[in-house]
Amino acid sequence: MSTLIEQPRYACALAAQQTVLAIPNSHPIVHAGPGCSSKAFGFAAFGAGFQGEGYAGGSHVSCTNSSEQEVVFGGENKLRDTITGALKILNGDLFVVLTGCTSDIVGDDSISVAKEFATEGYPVVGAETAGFKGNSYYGHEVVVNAIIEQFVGDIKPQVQEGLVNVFSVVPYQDPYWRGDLEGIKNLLEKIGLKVNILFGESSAGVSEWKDIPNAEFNLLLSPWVGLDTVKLLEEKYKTPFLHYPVFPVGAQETSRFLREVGKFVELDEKKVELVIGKEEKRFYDYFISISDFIAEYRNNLPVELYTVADSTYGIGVSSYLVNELGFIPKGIYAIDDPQNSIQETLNDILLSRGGEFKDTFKVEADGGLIEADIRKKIGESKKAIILGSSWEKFLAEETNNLYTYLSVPLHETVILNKSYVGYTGGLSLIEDLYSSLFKRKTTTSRTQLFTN
Amino acid sequence: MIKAVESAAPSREERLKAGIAFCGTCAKLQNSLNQKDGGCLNAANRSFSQTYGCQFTLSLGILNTIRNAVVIMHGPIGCGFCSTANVGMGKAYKQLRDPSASGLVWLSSNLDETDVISGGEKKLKEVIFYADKEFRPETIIVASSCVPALIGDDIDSILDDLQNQVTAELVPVVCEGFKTKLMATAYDAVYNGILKKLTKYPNREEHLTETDLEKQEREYQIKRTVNVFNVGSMSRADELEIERLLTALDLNVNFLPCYSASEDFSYALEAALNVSICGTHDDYYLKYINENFHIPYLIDTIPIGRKNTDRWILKIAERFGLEKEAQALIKKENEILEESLVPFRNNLRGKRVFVSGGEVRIIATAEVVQDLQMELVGLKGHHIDQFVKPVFESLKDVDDIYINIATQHPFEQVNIVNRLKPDVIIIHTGSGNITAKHGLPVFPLYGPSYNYLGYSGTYEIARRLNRIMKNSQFNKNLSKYRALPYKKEWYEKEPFAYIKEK
Repeated sequence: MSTLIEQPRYACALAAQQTVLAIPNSHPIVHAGPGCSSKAFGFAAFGAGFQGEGYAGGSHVSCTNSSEQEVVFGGENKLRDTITGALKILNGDLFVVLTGCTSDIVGDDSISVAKEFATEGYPVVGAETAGFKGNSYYGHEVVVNAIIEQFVGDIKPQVQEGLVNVFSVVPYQDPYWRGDLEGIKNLLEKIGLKVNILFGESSAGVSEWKDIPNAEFNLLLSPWVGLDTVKLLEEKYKTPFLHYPVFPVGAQETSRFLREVGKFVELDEKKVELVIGKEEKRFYDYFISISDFIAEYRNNLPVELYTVADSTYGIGVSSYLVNELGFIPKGIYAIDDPQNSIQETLNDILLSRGGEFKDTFKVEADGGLIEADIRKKIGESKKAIILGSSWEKFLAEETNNLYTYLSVPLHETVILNKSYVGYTGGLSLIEDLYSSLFKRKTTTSRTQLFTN
Repeated sequence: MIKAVESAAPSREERLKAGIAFCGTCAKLQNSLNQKDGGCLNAANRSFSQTYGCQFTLSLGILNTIRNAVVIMHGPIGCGFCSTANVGMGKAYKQLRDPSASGLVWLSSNLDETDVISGGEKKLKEVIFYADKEFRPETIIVASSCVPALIGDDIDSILDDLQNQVTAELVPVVCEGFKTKLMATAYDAVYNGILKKLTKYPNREEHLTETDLEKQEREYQIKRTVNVFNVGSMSRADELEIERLLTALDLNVNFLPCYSASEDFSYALEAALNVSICGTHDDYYLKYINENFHIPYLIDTIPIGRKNTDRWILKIAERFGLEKEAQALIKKENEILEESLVPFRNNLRGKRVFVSGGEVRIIATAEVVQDLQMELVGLKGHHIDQFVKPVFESLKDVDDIYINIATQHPFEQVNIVNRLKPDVIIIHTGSGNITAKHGLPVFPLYGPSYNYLGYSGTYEIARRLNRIMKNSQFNKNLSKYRALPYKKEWYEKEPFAYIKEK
């Protein structure tokens, strides 16, 4: 765990307001000083490729804007007023109270205030998300679990065959979350499952959350974020879970993923193989079409791979690039600050995808140290591609190497439904990787390529 | 005798009796402003509110522009992560002033639960040493957030203790967000830090001999030097326009505090006049400098639109006995401007406009709106204080026009805009989107990448407005496909239903 942080890769727990906003028709109610919510929006939404306020984020977020009075006398009454106002003014299916540092330090019992409203039948949930308690990943889990405990609640599941709840990337913290979740949903539907994707444009919203207890199984598609949630659901509703730790990018991993899901819920193997066969044919038809480019320009293409992303996306993408495109991994940096106890596990997961990854993996939340490490390894090389945030763009430009965007903060690009997940995502990544070659000043035409 | 600088700047609701909640006509607002302590304005607030920025955020907006400095954000990682947005753009803007300027270094002491119990001093020291060793900046600025204030970190004394152990000058900026409801307190908080450490006479080489002529020359230059106090959200093009106008009067111009280097605050003490561009920014600093360094100051209107630019230039010229020259300049500039506006007038005339943003600039922008013979239908300001008074004088027939004082609070804005039915909204960044979703074209008020000030700025406003009004198909499209978060019943209610006067 880092002490000081240079070049941040995640926000504080309060950024979980974006998790709430990612559920269609849902509103955060922030009990914190002025500024906390707008900062979280600035980093998590604007800083993720200018994903805007959406339905009601940004300046629309209800907030107590706690000041000295609330710090000295407590802010519970102001919170009550704010919730009352929000329920009157805003159209919403779910309201989640999130606390900031001030209210948690002065000891407001915000969760109880939220419960008062829930008892009266309003869809209100409370969660403590003070920034000093943890980061975006922590806040996300706290909020998801709070919604399950307080809003979905203690009901008797009516298990529906083939229904799955998906827990995977963290909305906004994964800048491609909208496209990714849509992509995962599409893949699972292709093999015949019905999917509660829970967040984003392809989610039905709160009705999917209410439907969580009825799932046949939960799918955790991430190395560790969300593990607490699927365990909670197992305990609460006796729903089994499949933990698939590698985010599927490209044909090999996606096919493996679909097979494992099929096996877990005992889907008709033939049907799953039929889907995989069709998808792989399409994938490799496209894949082959870049062979001319690669054969021609092999000497100009980047080969050394640096990845700066959370352990979900970083491992998935790196595995694809090494195993299917022949990159040489140099540094794989996981920025999600997992507990020490699972760092070894993460390394093992990466090594399970290839011996080439030996000694390349590092857990590091301090961007300054990541930069220093990459600088040391990259030396005079001009053959590297760095996948990461805006900071890596600057580093790549300075060292005359290439870059592709993979993680936040991203202030120099606009993101709508881009995704690198699955078969299609793998192809999309190829386009971005190799197109970046032509964004370098010295490489704009074929002749210049040869003199490079 | 120089007065000691107070340990932290007081909040503006205390010091200036400024207000954040009002909804009524301009006549009613002006009436309140003329009462003692701003009448009912000061105490008013809302029983329901939406998020807005805190003084910490706004302080960073200024501090991140300072060259050769590293800003350390002392708090949990969330305090200040929004300034990653400055990383690329901020560098480009700095380089407009100094091509070799480097980009933003983002550093946080990253306080966690353990620090909340045991104090943040240890981590703060660690970051300061790191910044000093790694980046060798001239200045290290420590901006402290809510958590250090609540757990009792004494930033000033921590920095004093460390000063001898580092090469950089350590500047404390105490700006915890919960201290004030007025974001604008940030200006005072930043100046408070600058006063503590950077405002000191420059270390000039002493000349062994200086002829009378050389001495006269030196003193003459100082007598002709004006410090113009800029704002972070104005552009380099704005500065060039201001510089063009003032150098036409044979004055030397320095720009402070945004995008200056820390030693510029010393050199700025060798000047004849301090002039504020936006009145609501600088009085805390300029009054202190006047009392302790005896440089007079001018806080009046803002040079947006021709009437206010005329007035601003004249007020400066008066201090130097240059009224005649200024009149001639103003006359010529107005002639050129008048001619340049002709192509846009037909398209813009009669269009209904709503203006929203900082109090001073919206009123000045309203004057441009009137100049273009557009119809001003409503105003919305972030906050309200006495500094808006001189700007109001440039407007005509506004007594019955509605003005809403609200920092962001788009729920009030949608209600009012829905009633007033403007054709276009001119708005500060951050709450324009909802109006765009209502189908209106949005014209961004002020910005660091385009010209808005002075005569050329007025031309630019007209040119851009004209372009935006030509095709608003994007917004019309948006309004067709977007669900709005506010209930139908809210639009039917009075927009000020949640404002309480006490």
